[in-house]
Amino acid sequence: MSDHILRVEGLKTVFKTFSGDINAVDDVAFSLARNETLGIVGESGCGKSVTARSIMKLVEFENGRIDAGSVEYMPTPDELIDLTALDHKSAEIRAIRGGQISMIFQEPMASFNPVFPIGKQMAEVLVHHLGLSKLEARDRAIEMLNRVKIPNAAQRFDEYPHEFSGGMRQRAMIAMAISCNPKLLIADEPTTALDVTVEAQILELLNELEAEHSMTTIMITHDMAVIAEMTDNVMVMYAGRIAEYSSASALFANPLHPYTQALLKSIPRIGSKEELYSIEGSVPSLLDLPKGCYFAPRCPFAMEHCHTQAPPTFEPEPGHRVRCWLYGEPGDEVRAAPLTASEEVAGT
Amino acid sequence: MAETNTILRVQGLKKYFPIQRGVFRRTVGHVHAVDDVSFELTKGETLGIVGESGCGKTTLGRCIPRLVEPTDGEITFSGDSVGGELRVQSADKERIADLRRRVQMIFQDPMASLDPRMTIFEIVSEPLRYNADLTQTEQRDRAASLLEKTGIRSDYMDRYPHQFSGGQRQRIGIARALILEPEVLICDEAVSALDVSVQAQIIKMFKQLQEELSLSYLFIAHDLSVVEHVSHRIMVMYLGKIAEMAESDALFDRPRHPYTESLLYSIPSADPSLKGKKRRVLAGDVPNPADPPSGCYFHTRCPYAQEICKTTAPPLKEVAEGHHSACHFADTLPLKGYQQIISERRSEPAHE
Repeated sequence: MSDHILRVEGLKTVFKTFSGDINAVDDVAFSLARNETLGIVGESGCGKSVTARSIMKLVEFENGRIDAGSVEYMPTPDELIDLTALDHKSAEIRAIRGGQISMIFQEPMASFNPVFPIGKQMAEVLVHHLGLSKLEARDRAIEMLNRVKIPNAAQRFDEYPHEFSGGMRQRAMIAMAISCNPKLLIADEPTTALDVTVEAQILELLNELEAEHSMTTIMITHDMAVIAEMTDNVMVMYAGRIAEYSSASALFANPLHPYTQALLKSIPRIGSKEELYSIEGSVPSLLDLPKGCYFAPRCPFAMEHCHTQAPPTFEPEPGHRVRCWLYGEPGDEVRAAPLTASEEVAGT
Repeated sequence: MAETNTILRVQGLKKYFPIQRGVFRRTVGHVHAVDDVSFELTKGETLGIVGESGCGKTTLGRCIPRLVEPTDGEITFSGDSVGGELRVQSADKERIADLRRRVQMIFQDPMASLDPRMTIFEIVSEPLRYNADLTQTEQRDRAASLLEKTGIRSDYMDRYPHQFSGGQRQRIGIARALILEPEVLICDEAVSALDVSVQAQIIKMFKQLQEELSLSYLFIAHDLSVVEHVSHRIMVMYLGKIAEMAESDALFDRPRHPYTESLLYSIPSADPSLKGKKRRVLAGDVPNPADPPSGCYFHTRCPYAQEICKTTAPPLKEVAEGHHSACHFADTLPLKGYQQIISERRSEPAHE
């Protein structure tokens, strides 16, 4: 038995909207080994953030519900908690959320309360999760601010979010997220709103922290370059479903799904004079999804049955899964067993 | 390039924003948002402008159609339609109107730049109402042909902005910018908010339109891979000043300013062999533009800074043909190009 921290199976998250229910996440399954960095990549509305928010049980606060599936969280190899079974306001989930599993968001200005000093907000987390006294919490928070290289941490502790620059706010956010030594860190577009130089600083910092604390990380991004530089395994999502899942090296060397192939060809690469490839059309609306494969209307290889039958997941190479009819016939599909790419493509 | 091809010449452009304090809004200082910037733009050329937030790239773009009144400097416009030069600094109302017809802007957020209560036809044809004497049918024809050109079906003309996706809205914004047949388009982060696949569509369209209409672009963006892809020349700005300006290839192959080199080190690359590899990062933040450092503005973060950099501001000088750099050591520093940086990073150890 391998050492996993998270096993997600058949996850389906539905949001209630005025125009009807939408399946933001549909039949998502993956598992996460300890110390692994998993990347989730896709365009807006593909369900990458909702997957993370479903794990954290945050969707219930936003008119969403988990309709099917399970999220098994294993804090130690002998413990197993099904997060989907917990109430989103229960004491159990509150002990896990922000402590054992913590999250970094895209816009740190929106994640800090503007009327309290940054340090106070950091200390609050430590008091709640680790039961530290206020003074201990202060010391620990200052230590964490130092750790993420915020100059004059002791003085900065009492400053308000608006007194920090964008990059420093993101550092403080990271400091807060790792202050309770989380077992799992979910970073949702942690560098998207930042300048390229600051982005490099933050990616470098995350790399250092991962190595130091042997953290398990889920990195959500739309940027293939961030995926390449940071992750072991990658999940490509499209319109709420997993299109492809493999090790990062296999994904870049040999993308299987036509969507992944197109995505990789449409990013500008420095020094290449090649014309950019562009995928015609746009991501379908979740309220009006095509009948068969969701990518079929934009797919250059679409066959007749792609438009009528949704493809199951195939595994043409060990550890490399793809939801596309090009890679199998009905009956060849892999059963909904949890993915274990990190075992099968170990050595990445 | 020949003198006659120059469509836009900017000389010594400055924009200082006052900092006001107290009950009487006393001016206590100035933010030098754009500080003595000069450049030329030729017909059919794309000049990319890059830099970190707060470097003045947006203000520079806005000064040209005089959406922001420049503090000082001269903007000269020459083109076929007017015959003769148009000095923006001294231009009267009529000439400014003419200028705004010939220079159009495209903004980052297509939702915020389209009025939600106007139909697409009204949005796209609005400029015509003030600038051309056309009947309703002529306006509709013109709007329809431009929408088709930018990839929006013209029978969607009576819909509202919220009925379109982000990429489509950006196309509508481009159609509106093109309807007066401008010569220069200022694209301020025009593709930054778009998804990768849509971004590629819009970039391709910019290129096609440029070929068809011989448009000139000022392409302002923070994403260096995008800028490299679309630009003939690139200007790197730091705290309101030009740090370096060169042909796109030259800038990436052999940068002549340490700031440019630091930017190249920062670009993440879609190359999994770089996974977890250590990289050189530019430490610290951009200094406060209201209180810039002495000497060279970059010396506080520059890995190569010497004594002279703290005291004397380096002038922008031509270090090779068409290659300008504002660094005292532009000729001697062995700065690395992008490909060199990538191979250096490949051989770096990974984090442990």
